[in-house]
Amino acid sequence: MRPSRSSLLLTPLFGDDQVGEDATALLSQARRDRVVPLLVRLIGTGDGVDAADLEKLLLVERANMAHAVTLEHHLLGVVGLLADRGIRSAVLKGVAVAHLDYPDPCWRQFGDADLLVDPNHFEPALQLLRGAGWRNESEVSEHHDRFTHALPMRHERGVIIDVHQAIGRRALGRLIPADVLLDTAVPFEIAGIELRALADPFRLAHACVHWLASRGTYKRLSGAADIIVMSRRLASGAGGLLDELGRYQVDRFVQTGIAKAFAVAQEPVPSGWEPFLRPSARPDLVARAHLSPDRRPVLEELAFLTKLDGREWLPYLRGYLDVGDDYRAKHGRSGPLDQLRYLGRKLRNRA
Amino acid sequence: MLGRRSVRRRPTAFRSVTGGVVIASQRTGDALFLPATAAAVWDLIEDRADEDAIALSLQAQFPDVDPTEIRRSVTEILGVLDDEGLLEGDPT
Repeated sequence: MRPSRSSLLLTPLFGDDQVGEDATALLSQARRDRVVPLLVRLIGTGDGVDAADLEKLLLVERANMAHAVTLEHHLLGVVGLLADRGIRSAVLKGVAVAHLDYPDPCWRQFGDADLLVDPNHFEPALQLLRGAGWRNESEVSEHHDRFTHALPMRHERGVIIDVHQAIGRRALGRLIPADVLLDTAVPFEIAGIELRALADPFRLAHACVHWLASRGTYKRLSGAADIIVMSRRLASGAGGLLDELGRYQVDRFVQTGIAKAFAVAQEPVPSGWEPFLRPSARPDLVARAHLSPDRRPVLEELAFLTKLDGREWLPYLRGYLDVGDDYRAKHGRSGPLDQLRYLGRKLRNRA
Repeated sequence: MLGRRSVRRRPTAFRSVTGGVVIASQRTGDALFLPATAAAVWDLIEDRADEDAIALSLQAQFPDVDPTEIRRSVTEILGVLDDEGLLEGDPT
């Protein structure tokens, strides 16, 4: 089978060095999919590659890594700020997997940093960041503050840290309680400073949930690459890992994520995973809402409502109608009628 | 600062890239790109080398380059790193 461009870009993860076609033609996809570091490794020393193309690629690589160190610089400051106030945090996604799962952090490109904080301290954490010069990148309805999974905060130097109180949107964020994620978090270092990241099973589960639930341009090859590097390392304990994740109903996401990531890479699934990759039961509502190829907003909404405590329903629904001044100013909608029209459009939207 | 031992200020985020190293400035958080020679100086600071030792080490790596030129480059690079808040006096 002829390798697809996506599988070609993932080749370095498997230790192969066959380019097979003009690799520099892959640059635009590599940039879009945040796998420029893999393309750099695919090309290697640049033998046989046009010098101008190689220079362009290396400049992009340098810019990406410059962005990475700037982000990490600010992330270290934020984590320290939160720790000083006793707020626990765990680094998520790109920054964490770059340092914990890839052969070298230079292999993983990322656009922003993601930080999980204790949901009980979500608002105080945001206040601390605002006091340190960070600003909300987006606004949510004030009654939805406690239901949103993350709020992006922008620093005046341009970098963004997504502050999370859950690891996924809507029902996905309610599958694994944040206190479980924070209680089991593992240490890692950036520039000699100790931070925390999700434990192996939860880091893999998060990678799978995030990649599978992403749509359009947000569904990047970097997500598949994360799943591949982690699942290869964890293959010997696959059964036990899925049992553990089954307690939180995320095992199906991991099974599906691994199967799809290796399919994109056009590589066989590691043998340790093979016996465990056939989901047995019918998918539950959360899986049906979030694993289909197109968005199903009504199902997503229903799945989320099933994960809410009954006492949360009223504040949640109120959040759609009574949005607060900041949200109103940002989105230009006012009054319950405007909001009901918006809600109707949102539920119909399959984009 | 110059003429005596210096060490990297910690924590400083950096990555090795093709042709050099990128480092987050302690002053602004913005990234600096250090090309190969400057990256070599950055590596040598890790070992707590003083300015003379750095110049000697570079001289061994680049024997064809005029020692005065190497010494001037080292002084200049350490000055840039110091301006960006990336050095501190060796506490030992």
